[in-house]
Order: sequence, then structure tokens, then C-alpha cells
Amino acid sequence: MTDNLSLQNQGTEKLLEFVNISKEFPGVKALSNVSFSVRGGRVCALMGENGAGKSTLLKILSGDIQPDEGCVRLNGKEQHFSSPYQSIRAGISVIYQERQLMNMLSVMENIFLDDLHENKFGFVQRSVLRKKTQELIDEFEMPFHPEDIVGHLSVAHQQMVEIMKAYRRDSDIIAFDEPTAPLTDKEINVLFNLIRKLKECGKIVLYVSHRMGEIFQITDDIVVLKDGQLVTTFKTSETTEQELVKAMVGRDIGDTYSNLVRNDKLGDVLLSVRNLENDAIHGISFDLRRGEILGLAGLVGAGRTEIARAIFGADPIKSGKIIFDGKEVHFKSPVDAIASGIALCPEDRKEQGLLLGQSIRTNISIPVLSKLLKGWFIDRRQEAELAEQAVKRYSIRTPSIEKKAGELSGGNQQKIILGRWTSSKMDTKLLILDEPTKGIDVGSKAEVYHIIMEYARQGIGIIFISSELTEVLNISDRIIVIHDGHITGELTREEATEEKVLALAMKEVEGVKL
Amino acid sequence: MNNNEKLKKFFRSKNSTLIILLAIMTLFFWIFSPNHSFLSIRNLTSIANSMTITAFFVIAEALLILMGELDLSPGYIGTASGALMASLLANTALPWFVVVVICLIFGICFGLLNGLLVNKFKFQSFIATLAVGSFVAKGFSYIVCNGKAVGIKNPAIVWIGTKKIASIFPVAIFFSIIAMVIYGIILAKTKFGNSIYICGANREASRLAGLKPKKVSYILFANSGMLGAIGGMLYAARLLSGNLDGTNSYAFPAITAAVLGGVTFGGGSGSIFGCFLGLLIISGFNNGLLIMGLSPYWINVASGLLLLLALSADYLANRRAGGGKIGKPRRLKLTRVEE
Amino acid sequence: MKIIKPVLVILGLAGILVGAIANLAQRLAISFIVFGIVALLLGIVLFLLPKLSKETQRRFKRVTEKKEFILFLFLIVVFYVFWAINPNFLSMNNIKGIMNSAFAMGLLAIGIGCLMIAGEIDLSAGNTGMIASILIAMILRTGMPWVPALLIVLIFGVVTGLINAFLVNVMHFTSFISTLAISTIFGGLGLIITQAQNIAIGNKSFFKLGSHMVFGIIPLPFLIMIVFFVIYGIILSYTGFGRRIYMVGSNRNAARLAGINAKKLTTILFINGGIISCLTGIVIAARMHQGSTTTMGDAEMDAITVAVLGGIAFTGGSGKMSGVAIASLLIATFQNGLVVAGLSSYYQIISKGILLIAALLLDYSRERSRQKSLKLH
Repeated sequence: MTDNLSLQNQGTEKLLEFVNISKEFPGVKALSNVSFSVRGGRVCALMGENGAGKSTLLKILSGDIQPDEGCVRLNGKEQHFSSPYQSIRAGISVIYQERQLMNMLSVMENIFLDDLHENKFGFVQRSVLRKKTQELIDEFEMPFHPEDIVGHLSVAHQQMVEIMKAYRRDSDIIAFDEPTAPLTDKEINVLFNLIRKLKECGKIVLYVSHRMGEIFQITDDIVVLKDGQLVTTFKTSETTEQELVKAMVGRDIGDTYSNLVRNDKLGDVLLSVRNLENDAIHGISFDLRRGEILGLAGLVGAGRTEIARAIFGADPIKSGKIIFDGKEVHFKSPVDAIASGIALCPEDRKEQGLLLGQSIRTNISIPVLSKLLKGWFIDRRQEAELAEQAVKRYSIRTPSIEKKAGELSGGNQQKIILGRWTSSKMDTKLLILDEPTKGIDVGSKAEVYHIIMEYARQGIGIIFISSELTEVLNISDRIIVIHDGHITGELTREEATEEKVLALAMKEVEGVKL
Repeated sequence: MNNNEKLKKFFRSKNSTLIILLAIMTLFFWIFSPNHSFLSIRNLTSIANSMTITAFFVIAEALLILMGELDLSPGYIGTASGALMASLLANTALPWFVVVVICLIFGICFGLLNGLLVNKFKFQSFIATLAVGSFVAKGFSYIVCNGKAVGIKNPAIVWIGTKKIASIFPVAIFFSIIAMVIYGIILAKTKFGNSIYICGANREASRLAGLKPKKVSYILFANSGMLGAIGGMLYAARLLSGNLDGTNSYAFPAITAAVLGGVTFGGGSGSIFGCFLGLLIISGFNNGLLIMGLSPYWINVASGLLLLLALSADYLANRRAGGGKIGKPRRLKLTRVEE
Repeated sequence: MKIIKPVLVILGLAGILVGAIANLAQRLAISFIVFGIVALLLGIVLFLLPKLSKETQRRFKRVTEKKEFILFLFLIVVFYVFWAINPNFLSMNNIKGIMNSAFAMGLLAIGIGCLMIAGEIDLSAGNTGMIASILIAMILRTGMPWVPALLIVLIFGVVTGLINAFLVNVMHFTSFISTLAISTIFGGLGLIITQAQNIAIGNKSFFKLGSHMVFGIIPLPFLIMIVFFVIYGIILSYTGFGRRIYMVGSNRNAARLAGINAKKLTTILFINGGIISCLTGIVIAARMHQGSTTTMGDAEMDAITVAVLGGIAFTGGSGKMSGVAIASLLIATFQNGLVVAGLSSYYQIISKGILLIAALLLDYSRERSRQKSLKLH
């Protein structure tokens, strides 16, 4: 069981099987009787809504958790991993979404984390590590050095180190969990070349992603999970996006976007930004009208979140002007922005948006606490009413408003944040949404779109930031494309196409060294 | 929530566990103390006496723990304030209330220094307050005292420190009771109190939701300095002198009482009332051991063991409530839950 | 900024001239000359720097940016300043004093430092040493030769380490609060055992452990400390075990996924800490000829200051023994210098606090500038 199977099976095809896997957590059946197999030399995509069981399956594969029933079989032999270490020894590498790197250590120490090439006396052979790391760096065409401290690298490079870490082990089975989120196109190319190479070597690749484009580009088979059960498997070449969505959701959404009722009455100019400048953004100028949905498109790290935060007062501005609701404003902190009527739903809803350990009620009332006072004290009844209203309005699925926010699904969590900014005590005029549908299942996504449209109809201005091109193209009235902190172009809804947006997203700005 | 539900919630809460614990402990000491003196008026006032000063520290610690910080300095600040007060009274002609105000401001300044180090310079609160407290404040007390205790003779201060109502209840008790009530109400019912829980749970999220965690942090550190100064001054008043050791060691039992009382680091739960119960238990426990003849040196040992016990009980209770869920409060500093 | 280089050179030459020619008191003259030489060298170096190859420039920057280098510079400056204030500072007697006081905080800092790198902390170190000093005194009273007595007390250290490890790994307490509790308990135990009395030691050969002078000039404790620093420094930087300590401190979860048993590692480190604390207490008891509740003084606060000053961050995953070694010398020197300069011991306490705060501030500003340069990526 602890032998390195790749040695035994050189030449014969490798086989990974999940056999009747079931796993239950208190209150949730994460996986029920999931069985499928993947052969060597093929890339298998794992798709499904949030909560479908993909992460749980990967954790079982990596030995992080144990299944209640069923098992994993490698080349016909049953495996029982009681720790991640054992699965690594068995030839499995899982690359998780959250980077698991040692920021204070060097690239080479991170890559050879579990095998520091110690000699007889326990001393690390640094020169050996350095050489091997440099070989990897060259193979990946990366610009950093083996002794560079990982914490000093860019996020994209850190992700590449993470991938190199797994690749170096020469595992028979490599699983990727949403690997491309922090990567730029250059690194994505390297990654896909790598995956192709792995295929040629007969390795088994599992690929979890929400990005349809990537799935169709790089995978051979698709396994769809829903609510912990295996729905069906497809050959990538024989299916369509719509069929996949239908399988994941269990119902035909139709065209998610065509049911949306757009707002066609745009008001006067609500927000005017002129030459906004700080460490991350340069010369940002645009207008936004009431009831208009302005999409900010661009690659990850282009600076869209930074623009949002600057407008919201969360980050300081070096120079530039913001005119909101007819007045010039200088927000020193989010408190000022909120008082003027601007709201922000942050990119990382779990870390920056919600208080996971607090109740729904607490989470919703935060910005309006001063309006819920009876004398000096908080009126708990009013607070509860506020929360109940929000729960009803957004169909937040929860037994009570006292449930802790961390126990809800991603879609419901996002609705809580939306509810916070649009409660009856708030007078939001501008709603900035930063990746509002990230990690949300398709059903909830549609609900969020409807909510956005409703707000537009009410005359609220909306800035919509998303990395999903389809989403941006279909939701926005107008699209501004950002690259490296600059605006590289503006497109109306009619003239925008994926290719045009992408081109602008990668366009280099004059005079800026990249 | 109607009254029935409220009652049910109370019985399942931490506070009821504490009350039960308190009852058991009281029974135990009453049975086993010589002449059942544990519950004599004299002994009860002795317990109340030892609680009075610690109460101020407990409030200070509880608030900061809720914010996710740890303050190790209020004890040292108290000693320094007490020394300053004694010194000013002895060597200047300033009226006593002016001296008191000066010492309060003195304590607040230390608190603000802590706040500065933690907020602006991103020190970890434990090391910042340790440096400010056990080095700077302690050194200050040595300098002010010039190496020896300074006697206090000012009648007003002496009165505050030693006057007993009906020869039994020290006046100071009322100060601490009033303080606990006021702070308890502020924490539970006002917007500011609410914001302490929220900012402590997630600083950045609270800022993006419209609160001002930095301001709250500064206020709480300054408040801690002030409460420390009050505690130290009361101590000096009671002893009729400002001396070198003063309230230096008061922070630890205060933290124990707060933790015992249910305050968690950035966990968004815990109340002043709970801390009061925790304080009762600790003080009663220490006093009980003393009455039963244990040497006072055992108090420290008992304190330490009690804290470990409190944490264990907490941890086990948490495990039962379902471990590993994302909804669990991030108990960063006291117990680490493996995920 | 370009003006700095010629200014330095001129100042340097001026300083040397004044010191050499003007009729000044000897110490003042030497000060001027030294200052002059330093400024001159600095100016020359800065002048030459851009002309050298990029590789050399990179190497130079790497060395000078190292925390340990800056600490070393500080050490030299401190030595110099205190000597200038009072030439008795560099007397043999005084240097001996410095070495002796460096011992306690330095050795403890090794034990605490390793734990801090792994992301834990040990606040019980001081009182563990205190109990050790009491225990060895009591055991020696029974007439047992000191070598087996020492071993017995070290076993106590192992037990303490196991208790700490248990509380942290099994009971899942944070090391901070659990070692604080243990520290309080030991403090009380010490008082109970000794009833606040000192326990005198009569074993003459044992005294040598604390006061023997190697080669006639180096106190044995100091030498022991240096040896420990070297050994632990090598282990931390060059062995797999040492690197794994950094990994556990840097990202415990990732370390676990890589198969590193963090619990086993921290248990070893706690035991190690316990042993080191006891050893420190024993040697100090040997030097002071007694065991009591006051032998260790505030040693563990000093030790933590030394560790932090030496570059070990509370968050874990960074710091080197070389920095800690220099830091222990620095603080010992600083402390001693204040006394020699005539400052009352009260001011010493404040200045140590200020030193610690200054060290952390420096760290903060360096982190900030590094973050800034990263953002411009």
C-alpha cells in the first residue's frame, strides 16, 4: 500500500477508481455512493455546484479525510489513507485552491517540502535542491530563482510554485482545484502545456473548475456531481455547455440571461470619477448614471477591486476627483461613503464581507446600528424585523435569523451581504459588486442577477466587477476594461464581444513598463 | 423571543453553568471550612474586598479580549498610577481630586501608547502591552517612588481607601459595582458595545461594513489604562501607600476571570455579568483555600490550575457542540481547534 | 541623495584630521578619528558601489540588509558609546559581567526561540529554571554528587516539557496561555517549597560550573551558551529537522499536508525548552551558590526580548540563531553599560522596554518598505 505504484505499473495503463464513496458530516450528506473511474492519459473534469461534493471528494482522495463507506482504488488495489502523507507516498498530489506555501521560506524549500534531500546526518543538501529547482524553473519558464523567498513573489508566481511542488513529485495522479483563478494568461498557458505533458506521460489528471472555457479546452471527460451524488459523465467532445449546466442544476435554466428584465430608463449622472490615482490605479475616469449597470472587466489583478475600494473610501486616494450625487466627495473611510449612499460587496465575502461566527441578524444590521436605537440602547426588536425582512425579500434559506452566517451556503451568504446594503434603513444609491457570483451555484446566480436588475430599475447605480466574461457581457449596460490599473477601453452592450473585451484586457498601455 | 424561550436559553447558557459551579464551590467550602466560617459576614466582606480592585481589571481585560487583543499592562499601569498619586499627594499641594484626574490621564496615556503600537505599528498586543507594562510602566513606578513606598495621608484618599459603611462594607465596593453595571449595560445594549463584538470578530469586514475598528481599539486601550489607574489608585488608597509592587500581578487573574466568564477572543460572545461570575468563583476559590489553612503561596498555583480547568471545560464543551464547522468563532488566542 | 557621498568623504577626512591634530582629551580624539574613518569608508563604499558588477551589488545588498548585520553594527556602536562614556566599560571585570548576564537570557532565548519559530511560545521558561535552581540546591544538600543531581533536575525539565506539550497538543490550548498558567503555578510552587527562603549550596566543585574561567578569561556559562548557539544555529539552518521547524511555524497546515508531524516536532521542542530552562537555572544556582525564587529574576522577559530583537517573529517561521546570539550580547551590553554610565537600575528597566519597542518598530518599518516595493511589481 505504501509502495510507489508508478514503478510497479510502468507500461500498463493506470487506473483510478472511486468506489461507492459516501461521506456524511453533521447535518449534511456530502457524498452518497459516488463511483467513477479515470484512466491514465486522460484529463477528467469534476464539475458541480457549490456543495455538490467536489472538494470533499478531493479531500478523500488526498487522505485529508476518510470516507464513511466505499474506498479509492489505485490500479485495482484498495487504498486506505489515514493521512495526506500516505496518499502522497502512493502517488497522489492534490493542488488546493488555498495556497499551502511557506511564505518565509525559499522557493526550493517549498517545492521540496516533503523531501529535503537530507544526507546521513540529517543535513539538507542545498546544492542538490538548488540544481533540481532550477531545472524545474527552466521547464516552467518562470522568472524567479530557487533561493527567492516565496512571500516576495507575485500571487500568480506563488500559484506556479504550488503547482511545481506537486509536479515535482512525479505523482501518477494530480488533481487541480480551481488552479487558474490567480493566474495570468501566460501562466495559464504554461499550466495547460504542463497538463498536456502529463497526459502524454500517461498520468491521471483531475480538474475542478467553474470556468467552462477551460473545461472545453483542456479536459477529455467530465464528471458531474449534484448534491453529493454522481449525476452523469460526459465525454467533453460530445457535450455542450448548456447540457452541462442542465446536468449540474438539474433543471434547464434556459438561457440564464434572457429572462432578465433590463432597465431601460437611465437617470442623470450619479457618479463622476476623474483621474483617480493611487498605488494601484492610474488616471481612472468614468461616469455612471442612475439605473445603469457598469461592468468592470479585466484579468485577475488588473486593479478593478482597487478602483472599487478607492471609490468606497476603503483605500486612500493620491489624487483625482470623485463627484457623487452632485457633490464633490472626499471619503476618508468607508463610513463616509456609506453615509453618502455608497455600498460595497467585497470580493472575498467570507473574509471581508461577513462575520462568519455571528448571526444573520447581526450581519445585516451593522451599518445601520445607529438608526436602530431606542434612546441609548439598541432596539433588538427593530433589528430582528430588519433581518426578517431581508430574509424574506431575498429568499435566504435559513430556519432563523439567529443562524450563524458561516453555516450558510455561498449563495445565501452573498444574499446576506446584499441584504445588509439594501435593508429598509439604508438609502443606497450606488451599489458596487465585486465578484458577487464567485463560488455560487447556478441557481443562486440567477437569483442574484434578478436582484441586480431590480435595483437598476429602481434607479440605483451599479458597478459590476466580474472575471467571468459571459457574465459581464450579459449583465452590463456598458463595459469598461481595466488592465494594470489603467482603463484600456470602453464598450457598449451592443458592441461588446468576448474577443474585444479580452483584447482590451491584455492591451498594454503606452509608456507603462510591464 | 418570548419569556419561555428566554428562560430555556438561559439555562443552556454558560452563565448558568457558572452559577451552578459557584453554588457547588460555596457549598464545599461552607461544609469544610473551620466553623463554617466561609459564609460568615466577615469572610464575605473579605472576598468582596479582594474582588473590588480586580473587578476593574477584569472589565478592562474582557473588553479587549472581545476585540481580539490581550492587554498585559493594566496591572503595571495601576502600580505606576498609585505611586504617582502617593508621590503627588506627598510632595505637592495639589488638591486630591486634581491628583486623581492627573493619574487617570496618566493611565490613559499609557493606554493610548498601547493603542498606538498595536494599531499604527501593528505590534502584537501581547508583546506591545508587555513591553509598555512590565518595562516602561514598571520602571516609572520605581522612579517615582525612588525605591521605597510613599505613604498617603490625604484624608479624602484615606477615606476612599479605608472607610467602611457600617464598619463592614468598604466604600470601594460600590465603585466597582457601579463600574460593572455601567460597562455591562454599555457592552450589551449600546451601539458601541455591539461594535466591540463585531470589530473583534473580523476587523476588516467590520470596517467595510461601516464601523471604525481603529477608533474602537484606541478607546478600549485607553479605557484599559484608565481602569488600571483606578484599580491601582484604590489599591494604594487601601494600603495607605504607593509602593513598588502594587497591582502588578493583577492582570493574570483578571484574564482568568474574564475567560472563565465566557469571554472569547473575537468570538463575539461573553458578557460582563459572566465575568462577574468568573471573578466570584476565582475570589471565592482563593479565599476558601486560605480559610482552610493553605498558605497564601498556593493562590498562584490555584489560579493557574483554575485557568487550565476553565479552558479545558470550554474546549470540551465546544467539541460537543459540533467541531470543525466554519461557523465556529475563531478562537485564535486561547484554544486552537484543529480543522 | 547624490550629495551624501562627497559629504561623507569630506566629513570623514575632517574627523580624522581634527582627531589627529587638535589638542583633545584622548578619548575624544579617538572618537573623532573613529567616526572619521567610518564616514570615510562609508563614503568610499557608496561611491564605488554602482561601479561594481550587478552580482556583487546584489550580494552586498543581501548581506547588509540582513537583520543580523544591522544588529552587529548596533553592538559595535553600543560598545563604543559606553566605552566613550566610561573607559572602565572595557575592563576585564566588566566584560566578565556582561558575559555572565548574557548567559541567562541567551540560553533561555535559544529554547524559547526554537518554539517561537515553530509558532509556539514558552512563558514558563523562567520559572522552570527557578524551580530547577531550587531543586538542585535541595538535592545537593543531601550530599549527592552534582553530576547525577544535575541529571535528575534535567528530568524535571523533560517532564515540564511534556506537560506543556500535552496542554498544547492534546488539550489544544494555545501555548501562550497554557505556558503562562504553568509559569504561575511554578511561581507559586517555588514559594511554597522554599517558604521564601534561599537554599544555600555547599558543594564546592559544583560552584565551578558557574564560575570557572576557561582559558582564564571566558566564564564557563558563556562558553556553554556560545556552544549551544552554534549547535542550534547549525541545526536550524542546515538540517531537515531544523527546516521543518520553520515550516511548522510558517504554515502549519501545509506542513501537515506534506507529512510533517507538527505535534511530534513541537513536543520535542517543548522538552528541549524544558531542559534548557533547567540547565540555565542550574548554572545560575552554581554561580550564585544558592537556589531561590529570585535567582532567575526576569530572565524570560529578557529572553523573549532577545529573541524578538534577534529576528524571531511571533508569527513564526523566521529568525536565525546568529541574530539571537548577537541580540543577547547587545542587551547584556546595553544593560551593563547603563549601570556603568551611572544610571540607576530603575532607568534600566524603562530602557529595556524602549529597546524592545524600538526593535519591533524597526522590524515594522522594514516590513512596510518591503511591502511597498512588492506592490510596484
